[in-house]
Amino acid sequence: MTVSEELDSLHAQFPACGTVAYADMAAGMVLVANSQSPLDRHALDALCAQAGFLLGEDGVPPLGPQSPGFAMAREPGRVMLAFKSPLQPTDALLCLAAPDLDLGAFQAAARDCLARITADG
Amino acid sequence: MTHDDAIAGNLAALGARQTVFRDGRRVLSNGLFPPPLPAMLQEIGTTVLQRQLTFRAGGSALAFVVSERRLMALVSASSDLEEVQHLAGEGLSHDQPDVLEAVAAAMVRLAQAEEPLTVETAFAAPGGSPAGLGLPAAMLEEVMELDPGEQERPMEFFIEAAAGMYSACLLHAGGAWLGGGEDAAVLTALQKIADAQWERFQASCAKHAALTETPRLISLGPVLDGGECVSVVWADGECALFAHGEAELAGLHGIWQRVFTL
Repeated sequence: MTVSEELDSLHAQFPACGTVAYADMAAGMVLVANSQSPLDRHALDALCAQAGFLLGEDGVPPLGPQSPGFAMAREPGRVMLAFKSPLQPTDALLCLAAPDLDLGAFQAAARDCLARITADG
Repeated sequence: MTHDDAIAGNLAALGARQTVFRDGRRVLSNGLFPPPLPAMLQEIGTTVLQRQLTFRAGGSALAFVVSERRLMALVSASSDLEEVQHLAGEGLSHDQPDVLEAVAAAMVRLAQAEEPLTVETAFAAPGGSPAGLGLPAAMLEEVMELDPGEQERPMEFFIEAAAGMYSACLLHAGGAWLGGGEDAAVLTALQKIADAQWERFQASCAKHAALTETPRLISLGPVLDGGECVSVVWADGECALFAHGEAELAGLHGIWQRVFTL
């Protein structure tokens, strides 16, 4: 599957997650988003900036001695998730979802999706 | 509580109200937070003009005519609330202790449903309210043994509700960090974060969202030497740091959802 197909497949599996994006955190930009994402380029850039800070992409761990492998930011009405690739630490999967997302199942599926994308890349 | 205190309390309650509707009904409590019974009493305590208020939780319902912060009449009650069936369609008077106790018992049972508590407000039918002295909200509070001055802070409620899910917690309130939890080493690690990294983190977060306006939760993991995650919660001008295992992440977010959203 192409990266785009992988992202669409994850979105189809978890419709509560409206945006699934594959990003190059070193460049600070989203490379591909799922085809039904409602976010425009400006919103995707903002998502990438927030995820970059939380994942410690400026080389400074945000909290604690280590940079995190994932980050999650929740507020009423939405949840943002960011997963750093263990194989390519500058690559990340960024997701924006409704609060009723099944977190446990989604985390496992998102990590598998990211592993497939980076393994193919 | 003085009359002025009551007015100030009611104005604060109205100002702080987070309005959420479900199926056309306003949600007062998600069944856990705000605590349903005080939420119901607060609704009565802030109703001055005559209205019909219908409280529902799960399959249970109580409809009252409310005026001047008093329950003036019971319009109807769902059949499961047996204690007030004989009062349906009757005026309510506080000089009848058995009436006061029966209504209080039915309200307590409705609040114990652990289901979202909603209210519908409608104009009361003209002339449809039987005469009665009414049951003041303050008198109901006394019968229910509730302390009107005791308003649990959401952060305090969250820390208690999530107690089994974290190994250490640092609460920042009133300009100081207060520690809690079983693991002293992890608490020390959190204290180091608070001393060395917190200001930068807080400032950076503020660039992406207005932290004081809505409750927020951020989880990062794993970031501590023992492989633990750190979560941060902001609410009502307070913030708290939690150290927890990755396995507790979904549970912690679930409790946050129940405490901080209706």
